[in-house]
Amino acid sequence: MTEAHGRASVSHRFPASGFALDLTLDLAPGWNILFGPSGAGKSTFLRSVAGLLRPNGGVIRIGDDVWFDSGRNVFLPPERRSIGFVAQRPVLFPHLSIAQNVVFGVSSNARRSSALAAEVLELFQCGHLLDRRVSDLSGGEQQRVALARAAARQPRLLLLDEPFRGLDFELRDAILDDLQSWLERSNVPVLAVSHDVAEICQLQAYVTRVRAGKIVESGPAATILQEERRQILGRLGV
Amino acid sequence: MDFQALSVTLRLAVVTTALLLALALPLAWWLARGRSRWRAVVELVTTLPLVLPPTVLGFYLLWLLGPATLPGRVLARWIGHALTFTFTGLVIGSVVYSLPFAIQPLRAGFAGVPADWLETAATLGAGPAQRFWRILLPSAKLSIAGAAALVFAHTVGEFGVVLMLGGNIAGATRTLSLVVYDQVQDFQYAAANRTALLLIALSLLGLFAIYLLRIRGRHD
Repeated sequence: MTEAHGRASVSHRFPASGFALDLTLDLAPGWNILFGPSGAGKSTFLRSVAGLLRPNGGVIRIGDDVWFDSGRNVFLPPERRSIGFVAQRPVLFPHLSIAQNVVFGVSSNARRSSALAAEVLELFQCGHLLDRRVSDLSGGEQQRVALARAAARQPRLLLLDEPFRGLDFELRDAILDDLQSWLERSNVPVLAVSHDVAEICQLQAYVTRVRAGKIVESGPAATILQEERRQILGRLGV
Repeated sequence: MDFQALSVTLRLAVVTTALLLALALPLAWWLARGRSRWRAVVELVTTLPLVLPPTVLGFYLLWLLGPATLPGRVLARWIGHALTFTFTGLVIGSVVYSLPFAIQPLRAGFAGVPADWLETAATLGAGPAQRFWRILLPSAKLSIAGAAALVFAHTVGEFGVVLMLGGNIAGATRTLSLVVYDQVQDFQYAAANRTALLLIALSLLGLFAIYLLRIRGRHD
């Protein structure tokens, strides 16, 4: 494994529920996946890294860029962080065309070039959607366009909050293939939340198991998810 | 037909609508999304013209814009003449009077824009100003047009504030609603009827615009 891409250390307490999150993660190149039960604080961690939530304490650093440092009172808002963020429910802007959606996050000069939108959409196998309306897209198509939009920005970090949940296996695999080939070319690390053991094993991800806001263990997927894998295979009678 | 009064009325309605949109857009945004503890106070003050008798509003504006108070004197020096009984004074009064009619629909429109659209825009590099122009305004455009139509119609129908603050001066501050009143006082019922019908037509125009916007909104 090469040198870490960055480090995200987040501690946050929700006064209403009393839930406390305290996670520190070194971002490896490739896939970094937070795995754990619902309510473990995975999404809160992701939102903190995106800048959508300002945690009580911690440091978030990608390469030499410091996005958050509570000790030095540094907090960059999301728009000043070089991220691509794709959530479980894709958010496309319905008042814009598909092409306008895809180039929403790039500079205004590049936005004018319609070639860029077509090019990025093609990478995610949805060049044919260019002239469609947002409301006419299926869930899978919307998710592809959302990924293309995040990729078009050429971010330094891609954040994925269970973006493949609710898609059928075949579709998920197809989208993952496209995403994977883009990631390999662009060298962007991914920080993702996932519940899906099969998906994680297939990605050769670095997995951090989280429970109740704390890290339980971390390591390669094959090691960390050994037990889950055995259970699934057992259930399938393999 | 009193074309002079018609012109004053239309000018007042157009200027008020333009000024009020410029003022109410950021204010309604702040009310819909802000987290300040002053929100409740501002909300209350901007809703007040909705329930106050126009004469009360007109009376205090007359006092505030007149030479008896510091703001009145400062404004008079800045503009070059006293504001009471002038068209400019009338515009200020109309803006205050119609404030809730702009704020309320805009606020509702802004509140209807899902928070995750704005969050997504932020993660795509759009700062507060860009989020306002590229997401919020286009998403709330029907509410904005609705607020404009409502303010226009409401200003055309104004009476109490205009009477108190404007002083009913022909060519400067006499609007159609005042003309109807004068004509009735003078027992010119036929003339009053014509002026009133014109006012009804103008108001219907504004309301019809709102109706058309609703229909379009439903089909979008």
